[in-house]
Amino acid sequence: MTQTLFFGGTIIAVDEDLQEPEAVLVQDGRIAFVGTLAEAEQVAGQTPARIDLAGKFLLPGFIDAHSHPLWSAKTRGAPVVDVRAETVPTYDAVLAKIERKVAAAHPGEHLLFFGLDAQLHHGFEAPTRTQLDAIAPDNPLGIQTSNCHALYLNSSGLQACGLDENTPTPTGSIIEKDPSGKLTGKIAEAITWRAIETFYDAWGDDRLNDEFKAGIDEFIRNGITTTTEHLYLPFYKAYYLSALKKGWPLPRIAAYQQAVAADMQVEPMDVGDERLWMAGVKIHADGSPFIGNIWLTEPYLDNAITRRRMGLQPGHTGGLNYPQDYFENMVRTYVAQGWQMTIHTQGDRTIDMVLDLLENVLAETPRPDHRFRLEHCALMRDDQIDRAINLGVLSSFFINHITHWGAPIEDVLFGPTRAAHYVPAGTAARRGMRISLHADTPMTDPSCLELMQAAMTRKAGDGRIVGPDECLDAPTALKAVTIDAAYQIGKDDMLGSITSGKHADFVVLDANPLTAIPETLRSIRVKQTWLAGECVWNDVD
Amino acid sequence: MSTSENIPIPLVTVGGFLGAGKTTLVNHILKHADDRRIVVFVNDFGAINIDYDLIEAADTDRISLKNGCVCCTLNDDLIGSIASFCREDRPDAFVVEASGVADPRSLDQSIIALQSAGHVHLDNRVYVMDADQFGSLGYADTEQLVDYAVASDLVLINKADLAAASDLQKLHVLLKRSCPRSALLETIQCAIPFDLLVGDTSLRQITGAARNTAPLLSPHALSDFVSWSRSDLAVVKKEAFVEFLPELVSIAIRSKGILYFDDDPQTPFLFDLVGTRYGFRPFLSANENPVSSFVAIGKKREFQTGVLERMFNRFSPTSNSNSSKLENL
Repeated sequence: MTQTLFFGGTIIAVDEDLQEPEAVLVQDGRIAFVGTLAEAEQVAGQTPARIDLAGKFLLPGFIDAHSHPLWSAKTRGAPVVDVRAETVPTYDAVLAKIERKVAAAHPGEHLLFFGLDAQLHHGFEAPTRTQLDAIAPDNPLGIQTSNCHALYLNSSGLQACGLDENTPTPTGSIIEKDPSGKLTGKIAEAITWRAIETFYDAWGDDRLNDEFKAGIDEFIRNGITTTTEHLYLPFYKAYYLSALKKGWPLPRIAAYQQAVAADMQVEPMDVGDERLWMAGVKIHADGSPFIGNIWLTEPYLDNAITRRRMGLQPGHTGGLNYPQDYFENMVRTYVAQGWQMTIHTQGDRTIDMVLDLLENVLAETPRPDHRFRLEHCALMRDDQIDRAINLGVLSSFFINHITHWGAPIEDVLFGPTRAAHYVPAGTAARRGMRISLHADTPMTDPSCLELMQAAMTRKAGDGRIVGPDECLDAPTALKAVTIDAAYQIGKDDMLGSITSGKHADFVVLDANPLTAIPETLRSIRVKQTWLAGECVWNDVD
Repeated sequence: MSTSENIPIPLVTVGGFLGAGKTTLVNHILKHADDRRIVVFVNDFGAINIDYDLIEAADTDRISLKNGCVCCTLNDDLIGSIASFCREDRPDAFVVEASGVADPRSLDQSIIALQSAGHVHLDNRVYVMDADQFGSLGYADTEQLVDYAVASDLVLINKADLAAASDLQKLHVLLKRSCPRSALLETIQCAIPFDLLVGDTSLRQITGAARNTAPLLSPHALSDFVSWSRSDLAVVKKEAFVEFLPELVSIAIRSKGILYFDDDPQTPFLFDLVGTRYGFRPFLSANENPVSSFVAIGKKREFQTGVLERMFNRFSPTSNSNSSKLENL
């Protein structure tokens, strides 16, 4: 039996029954007692390891409610070249970077670039197959968009991925063709993620394992002790089991299997003491606001960027990923199997459709405590928030859209009225929904302090505040990355607060996130991360 | 000489690979600070070779110079150290050296925190490149350098005298494409006018504070740069000024001004430009006299003073165009 006693700092338990406890006693990976130091010492009974917090702040380990740790390692880990606008500022600079990589590559080497952005890359033009063939005649080459939903391939890349004019387009995907029927090189949605595996396979497993380890460390360094693998696929399991076997400090993982058809096997899974489990199913109802394939009641704005860079016609209102009956069949199937549903919804019309469907399904087969979730919720309307609350449907907000793309969301895509309530976390929380926040890594970097900062300030990259009415207060933001996130993954009984009986997952911060200036939350240092009672990250300067 | 209490102190970051010339630059700053009090944070004391004669007092983590400058080691608590200088012992500027291999962007969060607390203003991000060595780097190192240079306002293409002309040309082409938002300057031993490096000295210049006549960081002949200034402008037409900014970016490397705009003539704004980055901040000046002043510094060959003259006559038609001042730096 190992015991550890934490004391000497401020303990923010995120448990409404516990007002500023003095000490926490951990025994064999679980929280054994929370209360005064004297009582804790009495309960300990023997000589526990003593951790003096020295005035620092002890909180429950952070939970990012929607992420893709393994998929991130594939998507962004080397040898993928990062061309996101935060590093490579213009489209021409992206091309220059691609040209340098091609010049350094062996013939036949698979080359992949991540982060092309129609809104943020100044001078963006959609890369053409001819252009990419000229840059890289001898290498399979792909450029993935920063929202992950689309991929531009050269001819060699199309060939390597097994795509040609005769390839049938899977339901829910896009294989773009020119008027003569020739492939343009652009593909989007689910087929992107399948095709891109060709590149990952070519690089082998050693590469993936190294990058997976680096990614795990980044979560842990940021104090994230639980997250999800949304879009989990059955073959991911081997990598996860191997990580656990090697003793890597893997955050607890709630897996949500990707469904693209109604006949997929979803394997019930529960590994270790809440280390990896199958939590539910993830289905895309629509796509990404940044490539134009989300379903809206009011059209996208009409301007040079939406027309030229995104190729949208005036009055464009997007659409659904799947035919409605096909989608409905998937949802009904996996609901009937008893899974928690997490549905990717961005446009308000999509949310109408999904709420209609869930209302019907729940009326026909009522299920208490279903915790069905809508993911991202970019343009969710007020009335939809009320409706979701009535149905017990929860929203997980991709709040970093505001910080990373706030300016184009307001100026280029949707205008100030819709931007003012884009990812409406404030309204949802005020009306009583237990919300969560997420970074959707690989789209943005994993940091729950950054999520809190984004939700509390809604400050975009250029300094503007996008939708001040939707800002969260500090306690709500903290709950959205701890106890309420735990609720959304169905583990609020075991995770998300410093409560006796729960797992001993903690983060030690050098400042109090409840009282810090909101603009500085991201710069609070994570001094330690504890997972299942063990210190897995120690910032020793 | 201290800055007034309510003005955030300018902070300059210096990045660059080992051997690129960061230390040379920091040494120059310490030796040629003129009458400015600069506090410098460096990674490695050993590398900073300060003349014994200049040292007032030396400690394990701090060297005080006779000219008032201070050199500190970059420790765990940069935020705390800078905040305490701001409260107790305000300098004219801070210079922080990013570590030799680490990403200069690693300083971003500390700077954001210091800016939010009102202590500092991010004045300039300088990145030093070794022009001589660059061509011999492999793919991975090249990309790392380029990615770091992107996150800067001013890229010094240093050791320009040691690189072959064709290599220098190639590096220019590469950086122009890949770092389109940074100003590029060829240097020898990092010699650049102080006013390009730390903007606040220009501010003192335009507010009429006395300054000595040692504007250079090194004794190398540097007649490559000119400054153009006006200090007689009453109210400036804001719309015209904002429209002019892209043009200003294309001709000036740095610019600074205290400007009274026609839409809010009571409030002075501090205007700041370095590389392609610029901004306005309300400026709480003790001076009640609503006269705008402006200075721009550029490369002599590219600097079109005619454009500036013309534009400023448009901004503020009542001012006297004979009052502009052109100086070699």
